[in-house]
Amino acid sequence: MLEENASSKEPPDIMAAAPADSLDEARALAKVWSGLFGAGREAPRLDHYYLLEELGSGAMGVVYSAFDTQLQRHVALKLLHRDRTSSTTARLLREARALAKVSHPNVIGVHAVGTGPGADYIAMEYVDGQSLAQWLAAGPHPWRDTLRYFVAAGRGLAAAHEAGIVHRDFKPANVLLGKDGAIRVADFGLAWEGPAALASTPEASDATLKGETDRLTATGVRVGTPAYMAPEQRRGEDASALADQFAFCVSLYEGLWGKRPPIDPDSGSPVLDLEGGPSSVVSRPPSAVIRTLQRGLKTRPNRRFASQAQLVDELEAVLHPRTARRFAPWSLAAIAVFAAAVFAAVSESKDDASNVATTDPCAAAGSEIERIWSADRRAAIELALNPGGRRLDDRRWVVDAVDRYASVWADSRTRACTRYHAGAESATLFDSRVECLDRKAQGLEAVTTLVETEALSALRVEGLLFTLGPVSECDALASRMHAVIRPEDPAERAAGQALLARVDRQYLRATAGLPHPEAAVAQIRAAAAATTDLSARGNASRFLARRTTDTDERRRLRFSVVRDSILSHDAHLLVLGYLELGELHERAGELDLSLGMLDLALAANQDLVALDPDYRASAAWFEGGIAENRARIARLQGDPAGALAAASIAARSWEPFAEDSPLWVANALNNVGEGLRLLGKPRAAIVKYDRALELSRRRLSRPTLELGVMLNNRGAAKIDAGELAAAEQDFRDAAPHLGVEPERIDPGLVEYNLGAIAFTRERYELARGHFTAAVESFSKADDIGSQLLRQTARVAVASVIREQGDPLAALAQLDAIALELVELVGTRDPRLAEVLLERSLALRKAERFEEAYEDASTAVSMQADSGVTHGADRAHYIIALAQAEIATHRPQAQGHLEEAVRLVDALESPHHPHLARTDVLLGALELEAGSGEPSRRVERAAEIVRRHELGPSLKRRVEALGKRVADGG
Amino acid sequence: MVDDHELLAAWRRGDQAAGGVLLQRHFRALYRFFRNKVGNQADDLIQLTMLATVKGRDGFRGDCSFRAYLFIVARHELFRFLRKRSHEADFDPQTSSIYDLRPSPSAVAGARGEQVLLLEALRCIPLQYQLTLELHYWEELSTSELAEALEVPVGTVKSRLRRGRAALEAELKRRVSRDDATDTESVLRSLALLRG
Repeated sequence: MLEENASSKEPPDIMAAAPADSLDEARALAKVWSGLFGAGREAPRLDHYYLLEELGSGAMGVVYSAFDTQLQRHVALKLLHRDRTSSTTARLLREARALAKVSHPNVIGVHAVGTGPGADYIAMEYVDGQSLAQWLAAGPHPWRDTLRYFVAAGRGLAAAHEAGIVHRDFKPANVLLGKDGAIRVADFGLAWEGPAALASTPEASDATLKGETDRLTATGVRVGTPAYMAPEQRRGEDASALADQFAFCVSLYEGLWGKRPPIDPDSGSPVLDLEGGPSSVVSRPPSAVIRTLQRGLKTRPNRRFASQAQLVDELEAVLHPRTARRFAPWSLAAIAVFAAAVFAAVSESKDDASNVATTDPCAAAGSEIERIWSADRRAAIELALNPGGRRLDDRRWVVDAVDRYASVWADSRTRACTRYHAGAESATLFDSRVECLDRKAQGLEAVTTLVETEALSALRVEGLLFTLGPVSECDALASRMHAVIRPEDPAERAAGQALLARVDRQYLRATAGLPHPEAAVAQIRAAAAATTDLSARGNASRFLARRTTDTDERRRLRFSVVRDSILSHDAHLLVLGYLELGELHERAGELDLSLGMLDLALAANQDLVALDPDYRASAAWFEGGIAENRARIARLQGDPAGALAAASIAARSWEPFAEDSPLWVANALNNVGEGLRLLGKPRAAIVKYDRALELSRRRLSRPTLELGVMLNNRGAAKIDAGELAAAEQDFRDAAPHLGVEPERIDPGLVEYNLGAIAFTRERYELARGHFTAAVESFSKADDIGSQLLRQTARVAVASVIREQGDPLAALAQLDAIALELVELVGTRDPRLAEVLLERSLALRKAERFEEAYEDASTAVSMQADSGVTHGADRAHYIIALAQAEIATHRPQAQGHLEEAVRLVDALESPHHPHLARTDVLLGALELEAGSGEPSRRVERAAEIVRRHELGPSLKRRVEALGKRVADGG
Repeated sequence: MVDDHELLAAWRRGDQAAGGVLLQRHFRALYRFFRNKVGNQADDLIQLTMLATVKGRDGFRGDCSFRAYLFIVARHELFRFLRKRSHEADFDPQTSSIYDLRPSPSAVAGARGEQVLLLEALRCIPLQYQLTLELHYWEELSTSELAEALEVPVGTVKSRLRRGRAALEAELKRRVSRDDATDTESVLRSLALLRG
């Protein structure tokens, strides 16, 4: 205390005096002084400011109106409390300086900042007027007026965001409304450590309870006003510009409806009661405003507007529909700056926690998947996969696969969020992506639930994830999803999504081999009937069509899928719709119609690629699927060349997916192999089968149907390639696999093939047993494929009967078969060639040589017409023709035999069983003609007989020839 | 350094400068005393207190310290003020606390969190205890000076101190988080730094 100044009448200079605890004290002293000693009521000084009256006080200090003696103007002087840590001071001043750079009509101006031993202060623009809270309380006001003020405040807030400042405590009380009508946002982001006994007084305690004042934690850290706080702020996370948005929306709601939105106690989020409210007093604002509020008040920050500026644009569009500019230059800049802030986010230490918008709104986006797949879930799944002697590899693979999926999902989600917040994408597209990703997430949840409850194999899980579809589908949305017409009404749209999720779950169950609960199906049916979301309805119809056994209903539903997808512009669904109509026709034997549908599907698929180049990867998948179907139909049509071409396309289209879905690629390769084999290229076929088996074995370790099929097919190829022993091994290996699911693939195939080997070895009883079993097996199903196989097996039985010495009985059988076959496939089907050839053999045995020649000749040309000009089968036919020609003394026999030899040589198998036969035949011819090298032929034939353990009669013939050669010389 | 008594005597004789020195010397103590009880009205009450001392209404005989005398006066003014604000019947410094009497809110010159706690707690214990504790710990009046200032026997001072501490501790415990082990005594001692 300055005793020296006791006699002076000057009010003490605060800065010069011994440090006062607060300016209040100095003011009080001055007041008492003047009251006691009658000195002029001169205001205390602070630097060059004269303090006039206290305007208010808050947590950070006291605000005075003051007079700036230098600039001769009225200011508001905010005195910051002396007693605080140096870091908070530094931060405060930094913010004030930043705020000073924001020159915006709606942001309180900062004139100067002063620091000193006594006090720190901020000199701000003085606003003669009231706070927006006071103005609102004096209401009610027409919504337009309220909105106008809020738009102005919103612009100010946006400008601050652009400068990197987050307010953290936006509320009507912090918005000043001058007498001149000017709106200024004040009291910026001054959250810092400091007490406010304001909170410790009874009135303040009440206010605290109502959440209307700044809340203090026990240690005095101010965290904003609870009533306006965003959920993430409430949780203690650092407030970002998005939290400001939330507070702004709560304030606006309060302004328009007269009260703040009630908070749902469970979620901590506001429950927007937009219907209620004092509508008789405050006229109801338009739905655009309501929609804006809904978005701004979203619980998850990254679902709100990308920026405050965008939000204000939306509101302004309501006030000035014609003149509102969507992408005003400065607001674009705002987006760019904000984006820079987001991407350059540097996390600062807690002590130095700055107000600048470094919070990344997308930081938590990816981790949303943890609600579905977390460490706990993983553990539960591992546990569920434990029993049943499941192999460790399988278990690990399942968990890894889900991990991979979840990780990709998280990346995709984060990417969607950052793209939106960087202004690279519109809000509607962002919403679509999020919808898509949510659907995938729900699907993943369903998958994990199924894995847990049904203890599925790795194979099934792969199928499930495949059914679910890759996450990348949601990335590739730009034009495609956008083009789909969804309901405008958000409730209807959400209902549509819910229906889709239901359908997804059922598809997953189907892939898992599980039945569909009646209740679930009924729900889907009901929801589909009720929904206005045509795309969702189409998807539901797809599922219901699969489910129903009534062919008429299925047809109707499948057509409605196509109709709904056209109406809703859902090109993706259209591809599926056409594909499935194709399958419908195929089953009904309407093969040409089916091909027509496949053409449409292919065209729709290609349209999709044109619409959305990102879709290319998925498009390749569908191309493969379409090609697969084509191949199958071609096989049914007896067009092996066509089948091979299509199968090759399928394999090529699916090759990129080999890593994630090796089984599908393996399947495709299997079909290619089949095609190659049918066209007489068994070695090439074997290569394909080898790869197919290798891919399959990556995933399959226990007896599985797929492996069985591939082994069987490879065996068949090996027969064609003349490797009987290896073929037999493959068939024997295939048997346990095929036995796993006898209802899906006919074990009759193995029987047939084993019969073929036995037949080659002339073990006719054994062969007959196999072939008969095959016939029985194929008779169980009545689809066209099985029926054709049955006829093939019956033909084989007839062959045995013929060899066993009853050619006439064989002929009778063959005639019956021919009739049935014609009914099935018509008169021009190449399968008839087979019957004819067998007839030729039987006829020759029955010594009706001319007829034999006729049939053989027809059979050969029919086979050529179907495109089979090479291979073991071709050689077989040519040999038969040659034999008939020999029997009818036709000279062409020699030429045909040589052709046969060439064909067999082309098989690249020097010891093909067929060669024994041709060698014997040719040897005999050469012997008679006195040309060639019959002895070599005998040698080779003998070798072949020995190697393949061929049958007794062939052996005899070889020996007989050998003798003749030796004798004849 | 002139003695407080001499200054008062001079002031009573009309020497305003002497009054000014007295004011400067004791202003802070009075300010602190009144501020957390009556908030913004502190300056009025300080003025009344000073006026009362100069006018000698309370017949200061000079046989106790000026400080103690000052606080007697201050206390009287405080009670007068509080009685006016609340209903007479309600006001009893034995049981009523500032909290109950609801004076206008004030921003207190405390700075750190513990201080806030303490101030809050003080406001919730009976006024007599609050005065006794504050004067003892903050103004560092000895027990005998306290007895003079509060116009009660020394024994009463001691028991008020004891009971006041107990009440304060209870209040503090209610406020303080489970992590902090609050030693009331040390908090009070540390608050002596407030004066610095």
